[in-house]
Amino acid sequence: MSIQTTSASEQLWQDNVPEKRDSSSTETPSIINQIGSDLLLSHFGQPIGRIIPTTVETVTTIESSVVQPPPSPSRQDTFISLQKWEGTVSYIGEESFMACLFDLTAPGPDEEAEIPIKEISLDDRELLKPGAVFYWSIGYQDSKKGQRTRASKIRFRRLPAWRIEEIKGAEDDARKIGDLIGWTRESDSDDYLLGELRK
Amino acid sequence: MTPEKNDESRPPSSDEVEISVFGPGFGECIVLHVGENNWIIVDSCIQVDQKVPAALAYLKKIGVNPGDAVRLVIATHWHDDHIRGIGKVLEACNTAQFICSEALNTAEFLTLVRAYGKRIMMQQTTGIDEFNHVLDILGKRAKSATRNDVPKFAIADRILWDKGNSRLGNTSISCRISALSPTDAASLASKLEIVDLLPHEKDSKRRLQALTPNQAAVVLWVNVGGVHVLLGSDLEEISGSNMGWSTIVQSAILPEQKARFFKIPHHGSRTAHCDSVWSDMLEANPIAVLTPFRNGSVTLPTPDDLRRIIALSPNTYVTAAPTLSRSRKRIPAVERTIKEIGGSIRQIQHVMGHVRFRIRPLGIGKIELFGSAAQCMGENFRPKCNR
Ligand SMILES: [Zn+2]
Repeated sequence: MSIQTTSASEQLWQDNVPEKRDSSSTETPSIINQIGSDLLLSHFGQPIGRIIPTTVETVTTIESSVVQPPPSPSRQDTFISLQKWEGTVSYIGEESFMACLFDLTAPGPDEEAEIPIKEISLDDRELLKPGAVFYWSIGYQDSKKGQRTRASKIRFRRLPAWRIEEIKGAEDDARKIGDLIGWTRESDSDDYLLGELRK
Repeated sequence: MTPEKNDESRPPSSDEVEISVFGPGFGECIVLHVGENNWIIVDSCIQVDQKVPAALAYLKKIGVNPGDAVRLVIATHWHDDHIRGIGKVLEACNTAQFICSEALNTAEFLTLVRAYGKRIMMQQTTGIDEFNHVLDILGKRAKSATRNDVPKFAIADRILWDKGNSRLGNTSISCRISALSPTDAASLASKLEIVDLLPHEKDSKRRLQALTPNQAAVVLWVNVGGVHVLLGSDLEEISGSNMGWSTIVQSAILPEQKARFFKIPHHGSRTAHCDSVWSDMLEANPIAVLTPFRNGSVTLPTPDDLRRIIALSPNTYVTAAPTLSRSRKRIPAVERTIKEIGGSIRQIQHVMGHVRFRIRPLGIGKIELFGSAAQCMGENFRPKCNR
């Protein structure tokens, strides 16, 4: 399949695609922040089930004119989430990537986002692949000193590696269901057309 | 052919053939009435506002009980846009036989489904999740010894269903549905690719990406009482191989008659175009219907695709214009933050469109458009029901 980006001017249909902004004008300092996974889970309020992913998050703080003291390990900021999405990477361009979003705050119609790659922490860049799953959260970051900044956090799910037991389990399961429903039987040859459509 | 304004909920009469194509902007489903309340469902997409598969919502609307009336549920391939909700469809159509591509007829595919079907994603379902659901339904049926629990695999030149002749009023109509693809070569190539997708110990998990090109999708030839229909699924053209459209055109089993109705393959993509399909398999100016596709940076059909197709048939219809609209309003702090990081969010339009073609044997037939469906006219879409 050829990948093509359509520009609004050449479209044959009416739409109201918002104009693409120049992302270079919105340079904001990125702070790589490591927070314990329990805390992250509470931030995202996401029932992860049995698998607790290891996460690294990228925090872009806006209003960076506020002078931030260097982070000290003894205190932790609080993050108040205003908006959360689950995303799947669909396409990776040179400076941005595209993703399908599912709104976890107020589920609604499917959305797609274009997000600058600089929003992804260097540690997470290796995870930026088509099909990768991430969580995107926007909210307020309150420091212990009472300073509030707006923040955008993206963390990629580090899914665990396949274990041999899981693979063997899937194979066993496949064999059982295959035998039960007649999958992988030999194809019947008697009802092939063999030219009889011409009749 | 001028589209008519009509009531979508009026069922076809028993001797009327119907081909209904549904598409909400991402997704495709075809519902066929082949006479005497016999229905066939090909692929599935979801009616987002109702969370109901389009085929089931439609059959309910026209008063057809899917449990009694649907004979076949066909999954042409396992891509997300053709399979959303097919598990629910098969569950409701409890006397229908399930058909999919011979390319999936391996133990490795079942392993892939069972391994990846355990919901790696939290919210968004995939084609593999749907197949997992299908396997569970087929398994349940096999245990309760219901009829038609054994799936059927489609491969080039195989008859999938033959209803034989039946008298309808003064006419006698037959119905035969045959597969024109995958070819043996395409099926084998796909089976090998599926082996490559199997998980290995220590590989990190991620969402399974679809195979490309679409070489093993099931293309169907339907002959109902002399009305010939070509349903192209997502099959692409792979010239110089024993697969793809140019191989199908040379198939020795094609009937003399040409198709009046063409579901354009792969959302109108140039990669699925083959000149000889139009010259050798289709009537002049056939009714050509396509569904749009939008994912990541890919939008189909492109303006060039539309120009090419309209030049081939003025009777071209699309179930929905592949539009994106501004995302819904969020609180100002969120909107500002998205803007400041240089990101953008757009809402994917999921307004279901429905193109319906109904014809009596030996009749001329009529096209009806519902929802966001439109006729493609030169540089624009003609609004539906404009008489
Ligand atoms: Zn498709």
